[in-house]
Amino acid sequence: MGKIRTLALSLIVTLGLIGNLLALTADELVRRIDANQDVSSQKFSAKMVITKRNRSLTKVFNGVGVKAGEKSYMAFTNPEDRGVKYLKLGDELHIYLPQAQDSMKIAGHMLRQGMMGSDISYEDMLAKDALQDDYESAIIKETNFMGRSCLLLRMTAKKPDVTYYIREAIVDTQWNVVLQARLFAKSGRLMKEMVFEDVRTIGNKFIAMRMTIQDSTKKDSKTEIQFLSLEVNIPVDPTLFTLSNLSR
Amino acid sequence: MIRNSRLLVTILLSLLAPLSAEIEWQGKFTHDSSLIRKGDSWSYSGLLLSRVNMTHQSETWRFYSDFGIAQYLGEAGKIVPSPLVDIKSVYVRWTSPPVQFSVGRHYINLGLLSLFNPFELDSSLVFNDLAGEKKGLDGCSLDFSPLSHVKFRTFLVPNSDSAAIACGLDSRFYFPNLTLGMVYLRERMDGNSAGLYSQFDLLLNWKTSIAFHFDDDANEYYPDFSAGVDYSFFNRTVLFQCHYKFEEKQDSNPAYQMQGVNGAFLKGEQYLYVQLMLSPDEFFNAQLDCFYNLEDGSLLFIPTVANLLANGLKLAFYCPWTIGDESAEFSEKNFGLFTLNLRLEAKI
Repeated sequence: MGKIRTLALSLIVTLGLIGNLLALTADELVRRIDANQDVSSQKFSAKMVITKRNRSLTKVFNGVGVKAGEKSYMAFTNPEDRGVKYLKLGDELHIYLPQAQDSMKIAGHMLRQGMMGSDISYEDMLAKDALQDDYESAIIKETNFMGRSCLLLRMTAKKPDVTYYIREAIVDTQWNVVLQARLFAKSGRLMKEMVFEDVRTIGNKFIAMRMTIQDSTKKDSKTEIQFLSLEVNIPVDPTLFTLSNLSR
Repeated sequence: MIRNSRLLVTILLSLLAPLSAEIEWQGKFTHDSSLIRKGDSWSYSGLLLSRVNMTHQSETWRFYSDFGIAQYLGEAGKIVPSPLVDIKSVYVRWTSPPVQFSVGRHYINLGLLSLFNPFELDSSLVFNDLAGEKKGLDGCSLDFSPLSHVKFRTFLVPNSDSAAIACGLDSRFYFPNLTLGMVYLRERMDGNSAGLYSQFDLLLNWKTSIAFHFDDDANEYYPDFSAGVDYSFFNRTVLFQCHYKFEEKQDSNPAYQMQGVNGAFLKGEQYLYVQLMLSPDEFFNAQLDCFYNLEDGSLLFIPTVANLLANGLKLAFYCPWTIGDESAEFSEKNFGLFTLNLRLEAKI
């Protein structure tokens, strides 16, 4: 009798926990993801390794951003690209070319190109971080990813002009961090796969310090970005996000 | 001018001395080897170029210099005395947004960054290094960006041929999918230019510039027009661009000068430039550049294959060849029938 009671209690508790998990709506989960990503400012240094077949290329860059990425500045410091800088102002992206000592606005077809040869396109860089505004979401199922209890989220674009019409994300429900994302075109074709690892607490946010991006439209191609240092919610000089600073 | 340049460089370098411990050094080494076929004979030219960049940057100030030592070999060595010290740029830049002021030798550009820019101050063109860095001009420039979508640039450069001063003003406005600009430029006495330029997206990426060159009395003037498009295909692995240039009068205008080779080029009225680039990844690049003189029908093809061997180490092979009569601009007489070139470039 005692064993049966214990078993019943365990079952009730477990069901209750599962019930709590499933009671979490998709919109609430997306809201939590956006809230975790929402920082007033960020400052970082990072290393990007671009791998094509068996060859790899390493690029190192520093960056500063404010307003959830609405304004950001990035400068490359590896020998091949030293002096190349990017300035994002809302929907505009400017690049400074040191050999010309002048900047130009990146527009049109060039936005679809990979930044510095990577699997991250300029369009990806311009995309808003907040998912709630552009996507309708649904929880598909519970899952386990890298030993973490997660939910599989499927997001469909509300408007046709977003870069990726469908997103599937495996979300860690404790950290509210996307651990894996698969991005699809409207046709259903898989465009990119991303894996986020080495999640750390920085400030009061959970942030993945390493991400791997694979462009599914290219063969044997992946880009790994490793943050070497990262600070969030710090004071930032607003003059960093000006055309003058781009050619400093 | 040369004396003034040495004085300028000396002054700026003397500012460098107390900052020597905080200078960032970069280097670049280039080795070009060329075999040129003219008639039945082959000739060899080579270039060993070592460049050193020095940068010191504080919050508002930046000092930058780019020195090179060039050693020409073979046939080029008979024309160009070597070793040759080349100072591409040495300048001090003060930035306090929205203002940026530069003084010294630095590259100054008005108008769009494109091949046929009618407002370009430096008309030198290196056919085998179209994207290469150009030598700076000794003077000062001021950039003013009061708003994120507005930029003004003005400059003053003492003219090497006269006591006059070259100056100009470029006003640029950024709109969604559109960049518009207006330029006034005075390069020398009786050498004025004014015009407009634009860059916009209309299915393709368009770049257009129109300028009028006129004398000080505005009695004589002639148009200079360029238009170009570029687009990428096949998941951005193929890039195509095409530019057309028309300049009515060339006789009194400094024509494009090919670096290191006697003679001037692009003296005709109409040209077409086409580039097709294949870049499947960051490591391999193949491209074909073509210049077409629409008046004499001569062509210059420059196919190039480049491979990034390792971080900062690149090997490129290019083989320009010409199709044209003996009297044509792109002819065997001027360029050789074709040229085999190998370039090894290392950056540290």
